[in-house]
Amino acid sequence: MRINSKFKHGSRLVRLSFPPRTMVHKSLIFVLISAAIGFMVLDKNESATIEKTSVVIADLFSPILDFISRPAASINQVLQGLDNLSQLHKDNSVLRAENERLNDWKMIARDLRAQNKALKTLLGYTGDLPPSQVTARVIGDAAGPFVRTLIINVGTDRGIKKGNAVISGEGLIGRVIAVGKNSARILLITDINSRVPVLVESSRDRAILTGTNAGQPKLLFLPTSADLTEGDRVVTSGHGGVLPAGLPVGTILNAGDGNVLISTFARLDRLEYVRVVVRDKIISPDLN
Amino acid sequence: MLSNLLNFVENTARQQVPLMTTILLVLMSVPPLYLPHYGGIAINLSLIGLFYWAVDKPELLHPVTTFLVGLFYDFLAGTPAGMFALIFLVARVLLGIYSKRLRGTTFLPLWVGFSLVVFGTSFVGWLACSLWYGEPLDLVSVLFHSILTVALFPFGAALLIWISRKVYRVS
Repeated sequence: MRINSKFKHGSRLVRLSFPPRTMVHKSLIFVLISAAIGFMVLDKNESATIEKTSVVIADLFSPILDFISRPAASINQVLQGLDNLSQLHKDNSVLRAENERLNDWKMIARDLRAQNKALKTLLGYTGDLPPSQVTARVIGDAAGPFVRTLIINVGTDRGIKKGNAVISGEGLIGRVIAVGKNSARILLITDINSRVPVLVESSRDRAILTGTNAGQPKLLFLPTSADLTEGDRVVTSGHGGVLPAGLPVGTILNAGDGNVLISTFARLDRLEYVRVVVRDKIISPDLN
Repeated sequence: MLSNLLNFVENTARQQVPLMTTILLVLMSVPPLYLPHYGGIAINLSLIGLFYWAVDKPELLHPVTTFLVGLFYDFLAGTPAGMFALIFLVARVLLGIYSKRLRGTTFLPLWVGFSLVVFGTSFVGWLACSLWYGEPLDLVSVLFHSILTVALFPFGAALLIWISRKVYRVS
């Protein structure tokens, strides 16, 4: 640092090449940047304090988020209503055909249920308790290229726990990663941090579904001998004991390609209400 | 005595307007918009507020405040804690250097300045996040996110210019 000194009116003044205030300012910026990096490192190491702070802030601001999200939700409902009206005639004929098909399946399902019940009685199998579901409204969709999470307006007050699966009417959308008293954060299956054990329904090939933070999630760790066809359904396998088995996830988009992408059943960008699958304990198929 | 107190309250409130509007923009960035394909490129509106106030009233948006607003966004949105604090700080530092040149100019240079800040900070965010996750994030989403943020700037800036004129016309 260059220091210029001179005498003025008999007293010694020291003038720095840049004023002390700028030095303090620069030091402050350095400290703040270091603090930001420090926070990132702490978060990477899954610091409980960071998670707790995040939960408290989401809890505190959930009423405000709920209020702010109402107008967009109302507009969305009107637009969806108009969209439904325009497709009413087409949907009607499609649904009639589907209903006939489903009636056939209903008969088969009844038959299978009776068989299943008889076999369970023979084996003395009790199975898991059926899970209960809690409906929640999406009040925060902190999306963007850096993270894919949602905030919902229910928490421990409704029995939500960390790790609970979250579904929409169509299929799996993610799992609860943090819970407050009246809010919870959901990690979507499209987030780069998401890892969900799945299997291809037809071939029973197991894999891990992971997000990319952009577009469709992909399958990792598929067996080399995996027999995949485009359109094959992918469901949760239940391995690891975090998510229940059999939740529909999506269909295979590009079989045969090295990067197997999945088209999710749930429309993740139009979620207004979701259901949290509340279960005390999930028995992994590994342990059966 | 009472008028002095009222003046004090009024001045303090005026000084908090940049912070309050930026926090409001943070809160407005989080609720869902239900737009198809918007999820992957959703923008953070508070960057518009941060840019505008850092140019118009830099003395009212201290780096510590900027850091705290970024951290607040991280905790609320669920991004890696400290990431937007870092992004906002980088933006604030850049703006600290160029804000004098941008102040009082026409809208176009302001918009160009904002574009440079958005693309610069998005790159910092992409780099920080990729390092944090341990794999590169999709750069195309980040690019579209930046373009959308730049495209929305005139609307946000128009609102903030109006607020600034209403609040600071006397002072």
